[in-house]
Amino acid sequence: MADKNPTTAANERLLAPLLSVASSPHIRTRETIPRIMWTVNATLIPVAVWAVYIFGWRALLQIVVSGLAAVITELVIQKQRGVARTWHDGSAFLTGLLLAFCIPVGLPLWMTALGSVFSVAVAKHAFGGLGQNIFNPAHAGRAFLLASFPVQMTTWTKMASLAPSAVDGVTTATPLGILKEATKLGHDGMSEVIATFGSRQAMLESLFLGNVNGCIGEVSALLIILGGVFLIYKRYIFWQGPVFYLTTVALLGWVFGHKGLFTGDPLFQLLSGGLVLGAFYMLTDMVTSPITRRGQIVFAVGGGLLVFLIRRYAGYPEGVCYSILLMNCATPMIDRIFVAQPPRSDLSQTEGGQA
Amino acid sequence: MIYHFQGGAKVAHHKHRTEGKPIEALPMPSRLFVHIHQNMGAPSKPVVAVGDEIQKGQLIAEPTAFVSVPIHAPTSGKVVAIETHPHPSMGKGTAIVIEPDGKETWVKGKPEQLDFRAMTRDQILTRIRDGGLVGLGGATFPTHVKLTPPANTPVRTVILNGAECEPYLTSDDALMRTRAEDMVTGLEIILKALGATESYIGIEDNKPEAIAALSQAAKRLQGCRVVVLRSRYPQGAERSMIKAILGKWLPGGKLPMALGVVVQNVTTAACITDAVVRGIPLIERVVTVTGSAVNQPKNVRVLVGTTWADLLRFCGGTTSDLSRLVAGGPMMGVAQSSFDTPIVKASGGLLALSKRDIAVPPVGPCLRCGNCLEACPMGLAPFAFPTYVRERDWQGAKRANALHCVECGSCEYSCPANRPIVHSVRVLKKAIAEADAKAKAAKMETKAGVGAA
Repeated sequence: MADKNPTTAANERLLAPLLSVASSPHIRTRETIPRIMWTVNATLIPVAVWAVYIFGWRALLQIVVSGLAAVITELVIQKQRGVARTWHDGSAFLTGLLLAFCIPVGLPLWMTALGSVFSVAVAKHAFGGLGQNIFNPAHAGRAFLLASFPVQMTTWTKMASLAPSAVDGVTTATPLGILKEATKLGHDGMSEVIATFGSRQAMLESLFLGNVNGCIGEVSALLIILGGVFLIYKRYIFWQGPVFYLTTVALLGWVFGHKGLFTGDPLFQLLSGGLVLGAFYMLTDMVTSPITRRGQIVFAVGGGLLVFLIRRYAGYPEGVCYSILLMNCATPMIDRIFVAQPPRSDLSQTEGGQA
Repeated sequence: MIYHFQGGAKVAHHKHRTEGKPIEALPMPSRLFVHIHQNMGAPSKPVVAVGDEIQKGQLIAEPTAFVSVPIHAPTSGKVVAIETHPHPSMGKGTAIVIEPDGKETWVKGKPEQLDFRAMTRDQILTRIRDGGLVGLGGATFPTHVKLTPPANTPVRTVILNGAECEPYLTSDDALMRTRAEDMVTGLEIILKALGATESYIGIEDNKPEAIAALSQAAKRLQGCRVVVLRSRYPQGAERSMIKAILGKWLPGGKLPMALGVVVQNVTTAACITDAVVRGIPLIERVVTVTGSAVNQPKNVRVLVGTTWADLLRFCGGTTSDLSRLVAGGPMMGVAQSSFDTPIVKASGGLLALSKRDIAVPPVGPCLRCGNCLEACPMGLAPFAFPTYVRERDWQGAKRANALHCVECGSCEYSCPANRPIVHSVRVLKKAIAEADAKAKAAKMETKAGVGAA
């Protein structure tokens, strides 16, 4: 047939080496996994810079050790498993970075590295790698470290800070830690926390702008919120997760205060500990949270309830990490209940029985 | 009020290359390859033989069923072959090969002019059917069938679809700017054929000139409103159109008629005017030839049966980085494997895409980011479809409404991991159909067995 066809000869002049054929669509969004992951990493740079300013160069060292350990672990495992090598796609580094953000700055570096290896090797790759893991790898790593090294993980030493006002080398407690201990002894915990800052206003300012003791990434709620808002704007995360999580914690913290109903301090509950970091960066982890917006609301409210219960009644001063890990278990069930929904049909109201 | 629908994706328009360019006519090609299957439904049957002299507009293939349309000679000349030839959407098919004589002599002399207002409903439908009209938005559903609703489902509302939400394409836009009058006349004819009174013309807000032209032309038609729609893919999908304009949702598996609505493409409406008022059958159409790998992107008026090679040559040929040739738009169009493939009635565009346009990074794991759910205009969970294929779970896919997928591609476009979602749906639809047929056959066998016993 080809020789009969006069157009065939002309094809040579149409300059096509070979036509590639594939199923539609033929164009794609420019978003890719590496682009998403590295963008999320980038939004955490301000938090990291502020942490280094507050805690000193050791904070940077922790971040580098944790990030590198995560990336190297991923590379080695992917090589061993014989799967696509995506160690440079930013997801392993993000795990390392987030883990570094939820450990005390004084933690021995080998423990940090060990936690990071656990996060990537056990929490991520043992389940099948990116997209398959059930638990948030960074928080799983933190839970592993807390269980293995409870003393070091709760020792809050102020290191050589770059900030002029800070006192070096003094072991201090976190605000939530003070609250928990004082309440256990039957004291007015909130007053004791406020006393360490001078006034409630000074306490909230310190918490919001980031001049408190705690984990590396817990220093500034403001910077974390800015990063989170950018992620919502980029549509990398849904707003429902952080909003419902934070609201639940604030509401429950306010209603069930230590001095009776409606005596709690919702702002203190919101700004202290790792709540804001968890709300914007761990709770919203695409892989381990429900896939629909409605599912994420249930997930977030459940998580908020757990944070409240742990902070108020359990042995630990802080419950963000466990609240998210526990809700991660519920994700498959939530996804099963809250499936995608087609729009509601308008057939019946216009068509009577015929629909 | 903002006119919108659920889901969809913000897709770059890429229309600048041909937007606002005049429609140019292609010089007569040396050969035309007219396929006998150009519509949804049954193919037509050739009524000419090799060696026949034919005239422009002459019937060359007749319908074989109700859901089938006649096909006419695009020009005068000689039938030189009836043979298997590449088809833009069906792989291969039978085509009537015509060697034009260049005289363009019309069958029966000049086509007759008629006033549709004096015609009965049946006369209108007959002329539409005899004109070989199919939906030109891409689905190629025979127009006369769409305009013949069952007696118990009255149609009250007609929507003319001028969304042209597919990126790159501007053929509807070019026609809306120049043939607005004919489109409104076509709309009047459709209204008359259906006995409907209410009508809308929906156009995306990125086509201000088309909106102005149709608003002007529609002034004379009572009960007609031009609706400016937000540009968002797939605004032109039938359900998205109905939802955006009427605020009503038509569930999957149902026809718009169930809501008392008929949706027609604007170009189809113009062609209805040609067929009913002027007696000109559907033998030519406007094709947008564009993409970064074609030298002179154009809106071209071409005869049905013209090959891609002729079209591309008229547009200055392709560049050396041509990597993919697509019939239709980039979201739903079909990748072409040959330059010898001819256009059919439904071909609104030909894209010459370079490697850069289509470059896809490797497929990654699903991150469960939820972009596909947000983008799906049908409210499905597209991320799960590749898994159903991997697990060969046809029944599960059916329960997940895979059959309702319109294959618009919004999900796959939005996927950062480049998951092959639409391809998976195509595999699933085929597998479900085969499984259902098998189950039905097994049931019949059991019944027959019981009967025999």
